[in-house]
Amino acid sequence: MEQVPIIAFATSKGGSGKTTSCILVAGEIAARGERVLILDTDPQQSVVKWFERCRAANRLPERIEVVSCLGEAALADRLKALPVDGFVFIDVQGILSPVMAIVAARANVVVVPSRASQLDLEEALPFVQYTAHFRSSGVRVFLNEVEGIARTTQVFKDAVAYLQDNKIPYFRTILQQRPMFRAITNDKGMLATLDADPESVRKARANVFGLMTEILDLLSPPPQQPVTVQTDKGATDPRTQETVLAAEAV
Amino acid sequence: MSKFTLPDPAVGGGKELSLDEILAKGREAAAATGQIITGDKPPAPQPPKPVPESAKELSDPAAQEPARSSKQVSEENSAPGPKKMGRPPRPKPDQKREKWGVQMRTDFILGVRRIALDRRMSPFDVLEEAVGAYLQNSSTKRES
Repeated sequence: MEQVPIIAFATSKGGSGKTTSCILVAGEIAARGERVLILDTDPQQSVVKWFERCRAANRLPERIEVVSCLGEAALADRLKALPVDGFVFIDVQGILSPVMAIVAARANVVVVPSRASQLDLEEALPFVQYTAHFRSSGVRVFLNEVEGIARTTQVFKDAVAYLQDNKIPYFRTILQQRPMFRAITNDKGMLATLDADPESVRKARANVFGLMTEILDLLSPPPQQPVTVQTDKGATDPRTQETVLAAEAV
Repeated sequence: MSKFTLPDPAVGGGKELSLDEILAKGREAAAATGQIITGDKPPAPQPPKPVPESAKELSDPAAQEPARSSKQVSEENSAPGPKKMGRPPRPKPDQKREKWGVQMRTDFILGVRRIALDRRMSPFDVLEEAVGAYLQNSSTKRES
């Protein structure tokens, strides 16, 4: 890869779990030996504060570096001087700010967390449409903070149907609501070094791992395929295939 | 100035855009999707560049146009520009105005005015006479 990959956790909806998912995925990538630089562009500086709390608790996550980056000019300048290896994560504020334009234009992958309700997804949709003015791929929604039993509810099914009806690209992995995730965002560093019930940690890591692999998969270059002339109108659309897979996974 | 290359070949891929161009594109995208950008500071309009005198003479339309009547000119000058709406600005308090802090006695003023009218004098002359008489009176009292 020519440049260090940039992964942004962004949406114009507040309280959707951008910072939490950013910290979790960054921790899982760092646990596999990669360096991760997190650029905190949120004026609330949630990631910076998390990092300071971890430092105070002597649970500083290894190979993760956090830099405050407030304002579009600061972000633009910082993106000019990126590390030569590892990953760059961007955590943004839950509003449509000028920073979003840079994120939409520059990030390789834009991860859009949303709670599994039509209300939240209706607010995520305009943001996805906004990014479509900069790109036609690399932006995906994932359903966040889903309770284990919630998948059988009509609200959850309606949320998935809303994604499919509006052709919103989304990750197959959904992040469940887990107290362990809250503990990580408090001062516990990352899941890999969490001192807790091993079975619970394993399940939590498996959940984040699913999202991480899907993000990394988006970063991988598409395999070279021979050019074929499609004459059959009923040829399978890859997006449709993906939707079917996603529905099965859900 | 930062340069951004859009990642997607489908949407202007490979094209280098400056930060201002990216932000402008963001404004277009927000407007197209019916959203409002919070904390956006659109660039201030560029001031007109000073035109060199030689170029000014060449491009001056007034020099090429026939002479116009003063009525035409005055109509143009009084052409309604962007009209200021709302309440006119409140006048600032006059700092130079002296504040006496003393209640003026209106009966004294009216008395002076009546004497001035009776004697067909200026009220200032009435006051001058009154002050002079008062000072003379007080000095004679002191002497005695």
